[in-house]
Amino acid sequence: MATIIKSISFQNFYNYYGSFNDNTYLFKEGINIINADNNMGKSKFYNGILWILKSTVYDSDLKRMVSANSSFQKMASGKVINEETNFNMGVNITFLDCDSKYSVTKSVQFSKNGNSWNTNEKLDILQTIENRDIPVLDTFDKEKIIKKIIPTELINYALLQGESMEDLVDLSSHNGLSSTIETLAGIKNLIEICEISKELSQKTKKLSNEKEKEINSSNNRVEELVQESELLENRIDSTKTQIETYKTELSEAKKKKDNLEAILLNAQNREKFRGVQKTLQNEINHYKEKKNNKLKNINSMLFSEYSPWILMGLQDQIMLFDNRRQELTAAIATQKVIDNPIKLPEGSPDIPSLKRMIRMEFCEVCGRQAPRNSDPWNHIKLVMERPGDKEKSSKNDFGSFYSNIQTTIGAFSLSIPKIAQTILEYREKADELEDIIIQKEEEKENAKLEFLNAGGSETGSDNTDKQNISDYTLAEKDILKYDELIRKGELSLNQWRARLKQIDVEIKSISTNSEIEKYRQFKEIMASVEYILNNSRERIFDEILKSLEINANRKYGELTQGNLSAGGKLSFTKQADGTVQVSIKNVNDGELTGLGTGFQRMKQLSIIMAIISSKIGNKQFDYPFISDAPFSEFGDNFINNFFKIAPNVFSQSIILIKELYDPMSENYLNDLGIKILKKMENGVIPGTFYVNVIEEKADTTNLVTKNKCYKG
Amino acid sequence: MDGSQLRDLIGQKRPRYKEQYRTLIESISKKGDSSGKGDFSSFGAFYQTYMYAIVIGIKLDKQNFIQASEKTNDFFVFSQWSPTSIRDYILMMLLNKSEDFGFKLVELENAGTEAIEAFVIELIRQIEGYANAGFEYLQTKWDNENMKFRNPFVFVNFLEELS
Amino acid sequence: MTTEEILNEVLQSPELQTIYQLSKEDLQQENFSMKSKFLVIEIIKTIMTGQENHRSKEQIFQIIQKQIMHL
Repeated sequence: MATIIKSISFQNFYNYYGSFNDNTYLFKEGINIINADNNMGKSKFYNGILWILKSTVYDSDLKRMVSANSSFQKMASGKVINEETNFNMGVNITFLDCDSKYSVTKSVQFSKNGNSWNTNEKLDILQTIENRDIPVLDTFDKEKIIKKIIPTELINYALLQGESMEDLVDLSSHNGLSSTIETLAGIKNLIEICEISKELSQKTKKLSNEKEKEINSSNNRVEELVQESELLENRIDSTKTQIETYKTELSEAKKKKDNLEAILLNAQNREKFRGVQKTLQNEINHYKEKKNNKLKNINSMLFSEYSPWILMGLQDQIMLFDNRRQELTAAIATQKVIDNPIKLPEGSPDIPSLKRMIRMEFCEVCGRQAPRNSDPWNHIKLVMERPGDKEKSSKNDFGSFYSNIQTTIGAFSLSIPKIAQTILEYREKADELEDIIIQKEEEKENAKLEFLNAGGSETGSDNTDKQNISDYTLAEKDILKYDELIRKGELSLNQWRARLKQIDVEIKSISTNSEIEKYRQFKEIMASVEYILNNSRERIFDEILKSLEINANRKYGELTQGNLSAGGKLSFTKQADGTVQVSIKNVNDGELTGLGTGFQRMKQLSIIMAIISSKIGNKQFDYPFISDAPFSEFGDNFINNFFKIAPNVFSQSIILIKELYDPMSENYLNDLGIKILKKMENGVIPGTFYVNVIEEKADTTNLVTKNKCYKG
Repeated sequence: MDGSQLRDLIGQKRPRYKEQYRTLIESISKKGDSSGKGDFSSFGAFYQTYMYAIVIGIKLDKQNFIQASEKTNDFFVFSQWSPTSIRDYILMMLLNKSEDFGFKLVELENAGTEAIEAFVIELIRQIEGYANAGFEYLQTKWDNENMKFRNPFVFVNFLEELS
Repeated sequence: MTTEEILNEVLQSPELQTIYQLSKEDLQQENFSMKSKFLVIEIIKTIMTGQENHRSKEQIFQIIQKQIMHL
């Protein structure tokens, strides 16, 4: 019967502001998806589980696990800290195990004391028996119940977080995969039986030797042989111990080599993304300079010779001035007319005659009609009103001053009306540059992420790779050295063992006695028993390893299905030092190198899935699988494959994921998210689907996460 | 008197600004430095700042005349302002308003030297009136909306606001 | 693994056939509850029960010694 988490609730825990009721996720068997963007509570959710199971949380500022009780204030919602002086913060997990229901609540009571907070942590567990909730009081019982959610030995495989995937399956040390296989096979007791038989065998050897000496005390040769045998046994023991040390050293060197191999495997990627970052930085600098120049140029545009922005909207002034100048010209002309009156020829009409002609609208000089306001009429009027003879003249002539001004500003009549549009375009261009810079910064940030994913270090220099190569060569040399020492040691052991057999034969030929025969038989039987038990243990281990390899390859195939590049085949090999090495082989059984991080991680995930599903034959994994791992680098294909096969491997999984999120979409789902939700609604994928949302914008400490249940 | 003599007469004048705006002018101008850019957007030279203030004053249609008791600073001689085209444009705008401050252009054609001198003095007083109104406007912005000066488009924005 | 499962695995050891000449049929009849006629199997069972019952190595040793010496 599998453990199934029925619900997880939070109270004032990080982003999860409010009561448990406000922040409850109800879960089912199958896949339970919590889709959320960055900063919307995925890792906080995961921290809730860590707090309950391991009393630790991941501190994203320190970038490491810390003890929860050192981090209470960070764990409490920033909003509640600002609003309240007394409040509770907590996490509740309700789960079913063998038809029993448990409710585990870890909480901290906060009360303000001056500028600091007093905190008091509590663990409350209720067991539901026949619909009655019974509190569990015993501390030991409480610990046992928490282990029912996920047992300690499987916690590393059941909780998958962030970048920890590489370290999840330790392939090089004896405590790693070998130890896991032993746990999975349940052969811990067989291992103990082997240890007992080894000690018993040694004890019988000693006993037998003592009896040989005792019974054959008069025979020097026997004594000599027994002494030699004891000497050899001692040598064998000390050499065995030495070989164990060499094996540990070998294991360390291999681990180092493996780590460096993974790092060097990514060196190419690092080099690529280091280059991409540099190129992008150069481009960013170029665009920033361009933008700065553009912005710096604004004030020179205000005072530009040809289209000064400062004169925006003032084009009417030019026309106004022109009018004024025309008026002035007209006024000056009038002045000249006054100064130089029209002289009339002899016999011209006098003023009274002119007045009459105007009144009668008739020119008596030429005998024609002169209607009012017509040219002839106006001429008669002008003649009549001509000024008398006076002496007048202009003192100044500023015409050149005015016309100079008009010449200088003349071109502006065309350029000023266009200024507003020019400014608009200028602003747009500056905005465009800003957009390009933002886009390039984002690209650079992504390249940096790729660089870090490929094992790059923010502080490390280019020399780190050189150091790694030198360390790698050193590790390779160490491996050769310890392999040779182990080989030599084992050669000696074999020689000494052969000599021991000769000694046994010789002693037997010298001394025969029914009593000593019994001791000899005892010794031989115990040696065989030790041998048989050890071989059985090795055989079981090998069988598990074989089935693990088959199973992991099946999962690997399923996870990488549809990928364009072939992922190769996983090969599990037991090493001389008892560790297990997993490598990826190509079709010709050669080592497949240069696979991306995605494949490397899928290798790890396949092994985990194989470990989990190998545990009890065809039955499913007993415990929930909880993941807060970045899926992005695997691509849509992997995500699809994962959701397809996960329900067959895990009875229940809780997947915190951002790769289905689209902040611009109305339901916050991207195409892949919509596809997966549809499959859940149609029952193709069993489980639940939640989306986390932030309803009000706030700084990170005051964020409030709410959840929307799309498929309960 | 001819046109070039009148130009020279105006050109040798030094319009003034009120001492109270000196800090502001220094803050938004970069005397003799057209390359660098500080925290705030600034003009390349004092006379550009002055021309900008005149335009603001004209757009506001407001003048802030210097009172006899007020402490003032003399400004760069008018003839040295550049670009000359903008300087002339400002002159043109003032000439357009000459009747408002009591001088008909046609009368100037017949005026004596003393009258012309009076006209030039009044013209410069008018320029000062507009410029100091502009400074007053900028001072208020500087005091109350200082953040606006962090925007590289600040001086364009003010012109647009007043359009 | 239970002791029964471990015994079944151990009984498949080729050494029992090669060294002790036990036939496959003999081995198939062996189980935990029935006393074996083969000393080596009884000793193996003694160690297993000893481990299961948390007996000390000395105690297990004494039991085996008796089994062998009293033959």
